[in-house]
This record gives sequence, structure tokens and C-alpha cells, in this order.
Amino acid sequence: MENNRKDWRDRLDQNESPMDMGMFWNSLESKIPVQNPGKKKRRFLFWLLFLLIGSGFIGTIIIFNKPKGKIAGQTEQQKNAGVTEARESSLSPIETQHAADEIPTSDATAVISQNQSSSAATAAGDSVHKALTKYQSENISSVTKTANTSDKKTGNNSNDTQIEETASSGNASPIKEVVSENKQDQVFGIENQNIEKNAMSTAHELAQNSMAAMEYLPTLSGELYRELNWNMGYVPTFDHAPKLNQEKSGWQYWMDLSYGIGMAQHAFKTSDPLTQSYLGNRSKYESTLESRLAVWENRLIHPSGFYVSSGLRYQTHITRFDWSKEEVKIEWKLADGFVQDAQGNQIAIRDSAWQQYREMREIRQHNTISSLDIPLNVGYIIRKKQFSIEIAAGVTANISQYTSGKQLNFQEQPVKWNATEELTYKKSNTGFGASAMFRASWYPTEYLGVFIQPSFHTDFSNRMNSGAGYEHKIDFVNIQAGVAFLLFREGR
Amino acid sequence: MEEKDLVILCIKGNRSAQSELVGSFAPRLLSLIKRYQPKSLSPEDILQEVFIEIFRDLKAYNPEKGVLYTWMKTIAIRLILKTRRLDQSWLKDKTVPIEYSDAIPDLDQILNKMNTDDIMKLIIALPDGYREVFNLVAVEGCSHEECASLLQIAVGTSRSTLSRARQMLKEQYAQMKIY
Repeated sequence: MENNRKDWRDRLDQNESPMDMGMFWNSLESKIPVQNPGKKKRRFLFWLLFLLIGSGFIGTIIIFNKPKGKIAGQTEQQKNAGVTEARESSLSPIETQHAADEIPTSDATAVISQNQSSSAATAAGDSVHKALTKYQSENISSVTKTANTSDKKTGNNSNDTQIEETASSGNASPIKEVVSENKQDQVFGIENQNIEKNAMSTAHELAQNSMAAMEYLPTLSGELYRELNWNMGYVPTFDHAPKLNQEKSGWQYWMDLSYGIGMAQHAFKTSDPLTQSYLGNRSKYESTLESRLAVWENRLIHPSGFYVSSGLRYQTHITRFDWSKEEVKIEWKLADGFVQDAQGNQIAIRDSAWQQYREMREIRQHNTISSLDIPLNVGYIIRKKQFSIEIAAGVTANISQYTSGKQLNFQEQPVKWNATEELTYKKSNTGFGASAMFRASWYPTEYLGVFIQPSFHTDFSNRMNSGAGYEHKIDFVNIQAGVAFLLFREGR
Repeated sequence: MEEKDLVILCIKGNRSAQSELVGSFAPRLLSLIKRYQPKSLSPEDILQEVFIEIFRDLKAYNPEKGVLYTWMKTIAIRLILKTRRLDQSWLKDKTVPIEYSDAIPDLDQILNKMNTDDIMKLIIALPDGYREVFNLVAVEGCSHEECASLLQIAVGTSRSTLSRARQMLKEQYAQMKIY
């Protein structure tokens, strides 16, 4: 049965109608379309841009978080460095006789303890070092030990000898240092047990008063040229910078406005096999775009820099891409046909008639895709002075997406595009998506930021464009520049 | 020359290759067009439009998915049906009683006994909608779901139309008294 059916089907499928091939080819040859030279695959550019943005982000994070190489190197060096080096240095201009007497061996080694207070200690140390430097330059020859040797207390036990020195500045002594000497390995240890608290509270003051800092010369004389640890000192210079850091968790309300360029990747999907054929190799397509973004963002931020945010985001993407459009054309011309007589016989006729046929046209569309989203993001921000970098990612709920635009028709060779018609034709249903962004900002004031923002946005759901017969999904990669206004802030 | 090489040359704009492609497939496609659109349009004009679209979309052809003629035939059928889609007056034709039977047992045997030209005459004589459903389902082997999607009609309509078309063919066959 099936074989019988296949037989007549095959014969019908392979049937050929006689035709004047020469005349047909002559009329067809001039109408064969030339491949559009401007139509190029740009998918790799989309992903290249994506990779550049990603690597830029990672690189910036690394650079931003990188500890100062000088300090790191010196810290390691410091662990192995001895007082000997410092003392034997021919550059030592302010080592005093008293100080030399107090150090029992010439090859003694001092180690500044790497305890938890090191950073605080170095804060004070930096101030002291600066003071010393200034003092050296002003009156190096007059440097003398100012500590009263009578304040020294020396204790011995079976293993080591502790020399405790108390440096005093008048009656108030902000820093108390204990220098430990180990007899067996001849190592000095300077333990800054109390330095953190006092140094932190007096660092700024010390930095402004070099003479006060000089009070500590006696106990620090062995360390003067080991600027290592002391240079780690951190003197706040934020007097001119906005107070960006949160002291406690709180809300921030931001309004962001930005503009940028990027690329969009279009993906088309249809269940209709003929529409699939029509889409052909255009099932994935790239376009360049401009993007505009306005965001109202409510951000709950923790002092550590982590935050969650939500709000309302309105964005427009102006895309440019080439496309093919079909048209049904109707013309009055001669046509061949049949009529049936009463007996059912077909009689061939040729007469003038309205004929309709479909025509494919190459077109270029400039579409504006506007969407309103509710983003829900998790982010992390790092701030230094007037600068910050942050990364955020999350999901978006799309409220609406609307497409409008204009169309340019491909007219002839050489390439000539004519604007012909306005397009306002697509309104999608709602959907969900995801977005991620990286932002580098500069804050001239506390309430105003200027930023550069690479971002990526995609929709999970395809959008059925009304009347088009296919689903359209778009992924965006943008690089935007903009301004951010801090409208409200709490938690500082 | 293999189809794949022919396609590559056509994409590059080689005129002789394009001429060869047209010469190889035009008669078969013209027969196909006449089978779908015998009455109102000039089949050569449609064939020209088909080849214009074929050359425009030739880069989309994937040899791994099927032979070239099948791909070209898909484009031709789609183009034919697109022009026909506007007219669905045949859907209102209730003159033939509806029989929801997919097959009339002896029709295939009758068609197998007939020569191809006579089969063509029988099919061409069918009203537009019936002819298209019969061509798509009975000749091309589409499912009723595919046929309904292509013609933008209900699946049930596709089934009933095929049943009517088969009945019409039998009646026309009897009237023509070909054998």
C-alpha cells in the first residue's frame, strides 16, 4: 500500500515541465541578487567586547586591591633585617653615644614585632619618620638623645635581659616601648604592645608636630634607617574628599543617568518551518547600538561594601541591523490559466489579470528598543579616597518592552539606502532576565559621582513580536558613561 | 560537479554555475509550481521569484540537512503559499460532504495506474485549497499539523479537506474516464 502510494508520489515529484530555458535564464540573470557586501558576521566582536569588559574588570579589581609593593617587599625584608645593618650604615647621622651604650652588642639584631598593631605602629612610625626627616634636614647636628637614662630599668633572668625604656614627652608619655634582648641569639625585639592605641589617637597630631615626635628618638634610633615598617604609616588626607564610607549599615537612594555604545546579539526562534527557512542564516544576528539608561536605585549597604539594591530601570537601545523583508506585490499583467467547461475539461487561456507575488527586499532597520525593568542586584563596592569600583549582578523583571524605528531599503548597486517608512510595531509581553555591571566612579562631591560602566544584560525569555511570527531575544553588551546623584543617605 | 561545489560557486557569483543550477532544477520546480498554482498566475514568473530567493538565501543551505532540491522545493512551496494565504474563501466551501477519513483505499491504486500527466491534470483540477492540502499531505508527505501551520488553518480543517480532495479526485477520475 505504502509502496503504491510512494510510486505515484515519486513520479509526481520528479516530473518536469518543458520550458524555454534560454529565455528564462536571460530574464532571470539580471535579477539575481548580488551578495550584500556590507553584511558581515560580527558575532566575534560581541564576545570580544564581552571578554574585554570582563578582563578589564578583573584587572581593575587586582590593581585596586594590590598592596603597595614597596611596603610588602620591605615588610619581608624587615623580618630578616638587623640593627647591624642600620647601625653599620655610614649614613647613620643621628645615632648617639648613649644609644650605642645601651645596646650591648654591635651585631645585635632588632626585630620589630609583627603583631596586630603593626599597621597602627607604622602610622605613628610614619609620622615620626617624617618628623625625623624634617628635623634632620633642619638641624641634624643637634640631635641628641633626650630620654633620661635614669628612667631606664634593666631586668635580668636566666635566658634574657630586658631593657625597658620609657620615652617621655614632658609628663605625658603616649608611647611605651619594650625592647627585649635575647642573649642567645643576640636579637632585639621591640614590642609595640601599647603603640596601637596611642599611635592611632595621636598619629595626626604627631605628623603635625615634628618636635614632639623627636621625643622618641632614643628608643627608635636603631630603626631610623629602616624606614620599612614606619613607611607603612597611613596619614589620613581626606580633608578634601567626600566621606564615602559607611560607618554603619544604611540606605542610599541613587539616581543614575548614563549613555554609551555597545553591541546587541539578536536570536530568532520560530516553530513555523517556512518562517525558519525565511530566517535562514539570520537566526542569530548582531547589531551595533547606542544605549541610554536611567535608574532609580535604592541600595542597602553594609560598611564592608556589600550591598543589595533594587529600584526601577528605564533603558533604550538604538540598534542598527540589516534584515530581509517580504512584501506582497500586486500587478496587472498577462497571466496563463485554465477554465473548466461543463464537462470538467480544462481549457488554457491567457488574459490580463491582477497578479500578486511576494518579493524579498534587503532592508536596514534602525530600531529603538525601550524597556522598563525592576532589577534586584547584589553588589560589592570598594572605595578609596574619591574613587570607587563596584560590581553588581542580579535578576531583572521586565515590565514592558517596546520597539519602534525606521526602515531603510536597499535599492540598487552600488549600495544605496533610502529611508522609506516608519516602524512602530512591537510590544512584548513581560519577562525575566539577568544583568551584570562593573562600575568605576569618581566623586567630586559626596552627592555626585561620575562613572564608566561596562554592563551585560540578557532576557531569559524570548519575546514574541506581535505579527512577526517569530520570537526575538536580544542580549546587550554596553559601555556607558554617566553621572550618579546621591539623593538620600543614612548610616554614617 | 557535486551539488556542494555548485552551491559554493553560485554563492561566489559564478554565472555559469548559476545557469547550471537553474537548468538542473527549473523544469522540476516549474512542474511543482504548476501543481500548486495552475490557474491564476504565470508559473514562469513565480519560478523566477523562486530562483531570486534561492540565490539570495543560498548561504543558508546546509548540505547535511538534506539534498539541494528538497531545500529549493521548501522555498518554492513557501513562496507559493504565501501568495495564496490571502485567499481562504475555499474554507467556506461546504458543497462536498465531510468525511474524516485519511485514506480512500483504492485512490492510490488508481493513481499508480495513471501516467504522470494525467495525475497532474487531476490535481490541477482541484479547487485551490483542496489542491494545496492534497499536495502538502498526500504528495509532499507533510503531517496535518505541518499542513495546518503552513496554510494557517486548523488541523481538523486539514484532515477534512484532504478527505474531500480525495473524494473529488475519485469523482473527477470517473468523469474523465481516462482508462
